Amino acid sequence: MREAVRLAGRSGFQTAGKVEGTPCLKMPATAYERLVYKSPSEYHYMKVCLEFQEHGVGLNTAQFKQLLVSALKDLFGEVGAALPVDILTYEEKTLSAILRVCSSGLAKLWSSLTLFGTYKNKKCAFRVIQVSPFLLALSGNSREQVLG
Amino acid sequence: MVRFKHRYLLCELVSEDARCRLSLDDRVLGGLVRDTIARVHGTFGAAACSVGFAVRYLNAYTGVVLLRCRKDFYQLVWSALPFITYLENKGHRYPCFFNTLHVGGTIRTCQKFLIQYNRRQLLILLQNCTDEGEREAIRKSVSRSCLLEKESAEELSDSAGEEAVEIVE
Repeated sequence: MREAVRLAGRSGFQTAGKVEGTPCLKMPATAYERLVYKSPSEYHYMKVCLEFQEHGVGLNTAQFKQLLVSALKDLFGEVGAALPVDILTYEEKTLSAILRVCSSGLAKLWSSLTLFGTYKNKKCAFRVIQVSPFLLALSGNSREQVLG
Repeated sequence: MVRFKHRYLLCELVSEDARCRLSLDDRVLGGLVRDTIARVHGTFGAAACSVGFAVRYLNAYTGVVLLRCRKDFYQLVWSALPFITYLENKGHRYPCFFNTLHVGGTIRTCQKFLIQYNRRQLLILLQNCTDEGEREAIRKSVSRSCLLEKESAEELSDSAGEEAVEIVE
């Protein structure tokens, strides 16, 4: 839990996106305001790679997004398919992507990626390489680090 | 103590077609709700809600339905009810929608609410009534329900009085 101390601008606490308002008081210009974030960040970032059993399957970005939405729809229905997932980067050659999802929807997205088995009668699997609440952490992966 | 807790959803089936309510069947309705949950919440929702799911009470004349579901997943069921748009029976499709009246933890609380709700509905019907014969019939049922209310209130106070006497003795 991180506390951020800021000068007066907005009033009230911010817990996971919901603003609980204090009764309307005009705060003097020198007052301090305390913002409390219960989780480190609102979004979680996932680095995933799609592997097919056969070689030579190509997907463009739109088809990849469609794949994600259909995986969510299978497991969590219409409500799950409406989960806002963003593809930040996508490489067609390696079929790897960086996804962004709201922290509350991380469990849903990860579980639907895990249970996604076939695409157009071809067997495939999602490999989750890295998950982090910070995008910067995805730039370096200690597993792929080459020492010496 | 350890037991399975349930939530009972009291709903009303509202439809323009009068035949829709008469063709209500608890198995058909149960299947319809399960299909809708599977469509809206996917495999996870269908599995989570179907364990403790049951249609407990069904009134074909007023269209009142009492659904039971597990306490942990009652919100999935509740949120799937507005997605039911039609009732299918013998090839006929009747457009309809579900109005959730009350959510209770036991059948008894839902029954109490339903009795009060029906009384209020009778009074509303009396106001909107146009036909004189219907008006008489509704007035009779309103007076009968008031008598029943008085009787049940007296019973409760009597039993409370008896209990107090027993304790004193």
